[in-house]
Amino acid sequence: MQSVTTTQVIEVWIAVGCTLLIYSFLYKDNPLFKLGEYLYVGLTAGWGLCTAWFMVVWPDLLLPLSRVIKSYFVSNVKLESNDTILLVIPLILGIFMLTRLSAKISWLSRYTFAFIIGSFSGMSIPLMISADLFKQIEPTLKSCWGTDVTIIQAINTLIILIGVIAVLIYFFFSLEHKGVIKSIARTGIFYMMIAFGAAFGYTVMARESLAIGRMTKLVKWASADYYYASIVLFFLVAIIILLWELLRKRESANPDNQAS
Amino acid sequence: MDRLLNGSAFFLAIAAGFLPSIILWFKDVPKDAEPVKWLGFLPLITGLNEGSPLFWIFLNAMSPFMATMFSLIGFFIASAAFRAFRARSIEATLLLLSALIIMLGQIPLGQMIWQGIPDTMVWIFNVPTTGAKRAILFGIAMGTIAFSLRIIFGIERGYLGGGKDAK
Amino acid sequence: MTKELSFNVTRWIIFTLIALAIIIPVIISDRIPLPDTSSKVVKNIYDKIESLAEGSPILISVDFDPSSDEELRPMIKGLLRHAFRKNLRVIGMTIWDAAAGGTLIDIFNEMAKENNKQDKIDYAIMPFKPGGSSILMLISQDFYQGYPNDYKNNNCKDLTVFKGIKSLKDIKFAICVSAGQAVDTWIIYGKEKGKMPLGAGCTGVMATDYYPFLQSGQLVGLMGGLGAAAQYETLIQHKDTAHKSMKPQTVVHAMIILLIIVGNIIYFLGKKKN
Repeated sequence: MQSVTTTQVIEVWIAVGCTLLIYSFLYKDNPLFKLGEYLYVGLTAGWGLCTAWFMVVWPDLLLPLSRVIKSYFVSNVKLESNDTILLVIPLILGIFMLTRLSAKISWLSRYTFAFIIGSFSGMSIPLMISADLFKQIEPTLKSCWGTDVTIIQAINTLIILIGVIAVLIYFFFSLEHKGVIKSIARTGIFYMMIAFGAAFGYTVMARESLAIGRMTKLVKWASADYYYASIVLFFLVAIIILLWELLRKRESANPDNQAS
Repeated sequence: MDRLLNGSAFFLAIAAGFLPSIILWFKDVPKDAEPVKWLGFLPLITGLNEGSPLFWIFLNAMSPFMATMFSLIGFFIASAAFRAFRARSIEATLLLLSALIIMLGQIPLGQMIWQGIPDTMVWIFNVPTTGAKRAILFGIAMGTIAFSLRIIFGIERGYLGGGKDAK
Repeated sequence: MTKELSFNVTRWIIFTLIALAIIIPVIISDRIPLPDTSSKVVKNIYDKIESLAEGSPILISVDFDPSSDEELRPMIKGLLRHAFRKNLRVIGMTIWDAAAGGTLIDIFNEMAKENNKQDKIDYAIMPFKPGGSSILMLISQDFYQGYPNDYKNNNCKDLTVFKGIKSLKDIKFAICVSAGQAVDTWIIYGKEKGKMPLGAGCTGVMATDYYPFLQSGQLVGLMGGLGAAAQYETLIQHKDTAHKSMKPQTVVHAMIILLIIVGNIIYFLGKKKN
């Protein structure tokens, strides 16, 4: 049996506590869930801030810039390959972005947005045309006959082609959906229903696997090695929720207390 | 410097994440907690190395929170499937049948019912689903390209935030 | 009030059934048989890694946070076990800040320790860089422009693992394992510029979105969800968490199918009555 250290036991108790705070929502929305929710939001915000600072702003912007500026005053400063005074430009653009917090000078942030949105728009057009259009049109229009094409493959290619056209026509709202267009659009709906059903089937597997992962860990942490963490904390959470329910019922049963 | 970053930090890391959250919880309504906001900057002192307190909090508190939040959906999806998944029309029936085939195709029960279920599942993915998703992909790609062109030509200015200066 | 109570009671019964459907198989998992099958799309990824010569560089992009850990961690572990067994050089990176620092480092170090692999020689972990598409476009032209140093601040050009690598074009196989839109970003910006073979791993929710790319050849293979991770473990003959989780998965699926059928029977009986 693998020995478990005290630190690991504490870590497990914290993890189980966090898990059960959130799982208490399965009963109904309650103060324990709200506590867990606020902690989650607070930690995520703190983590996001730290990641942005320690992984991006400090090592990629401020540190290289400080080295470059230092090199102008001190002779033997070792510069890395990406150290350049041009980093002042993203620094200024980043500061402009922060001006969004002030109503008076928020207009400066438009320069940063214009640069980011404009450059990404320009970058994405040729690549999207290539990856999402041309490379997708090619297999849609591939040959249905030939020496290396079986009947099944030919039928499947035709089915895909019909599906693509039908779904595109369904989403073409400039044409009124009546007559032949209506029939083709309805075919498109059938294709989409099959696709969404397939997506739902896979989604069930995806979501259940997350639940299975957590429950598996809770079962593992209910062992004696971890001092029955799951069982003890489960009953603690159940008792707290029970007390909360009793308190709520008493408050709703005594309207005089509520009025005062 | 490393010792300063790591050594002073545990309390501050807890304060940064937990304290604002607990204060908000006691206040019940998370509106405009001005002094609490600034506590969020405290983790900057803790550092983000492998052994740092903030990394420890990520592994032992944030990970369980994030995983559990999403695992709740597993329970609600079962409840929603029981209540809402009805074969009310032809389209709904197609959706239902497709979902059932996919779910059966992933477990041995499917093969026990009919040997062809896994192959049918593969066919559904490779043919009708591909057709529908490809068409949706075309639509998204063309929409993105059109929107990008509008931005480049200055027709679309909503991202600038509005106001008379944006025009 | 009665209607609300009956709604809640039904809800709690379903939740209890699902919880039992998960817990009981976890406890008695040895008694539940599972077929050892693998689909073609998962096998394609396996075959691609299997076909690489010893010492070939591959890149694994870990783009998920702990909320999708249960589904995607077994995929990364399977890929790393396979790659380390084949003595391939593995570069780990992420274009998603939620994965940075936590998930990526944790998994790589765990697998490296298990397979006796050394940092800087057999594998390297890149720090998180923002921008997603822009970092991919950068490294497709010059890898060291995007990542001059690894996550421990060692110069990438000095690392054995980067020998002979100038850009993404020198990577023999890239795999993006993602819970969000990172696979789309890799297909559009990474694959189009880098021209390297690309595989993908994703959650079950996203899997159906990538079948068009499989058919067009833009993706070599696709691992969609926990089932695919279990299939990969079967292929590399190392059954781990994914395989164990498929047993409760089987029971839960059956439970949900039963609930759907019962729900529809109740609906049609009610309709007939009216």
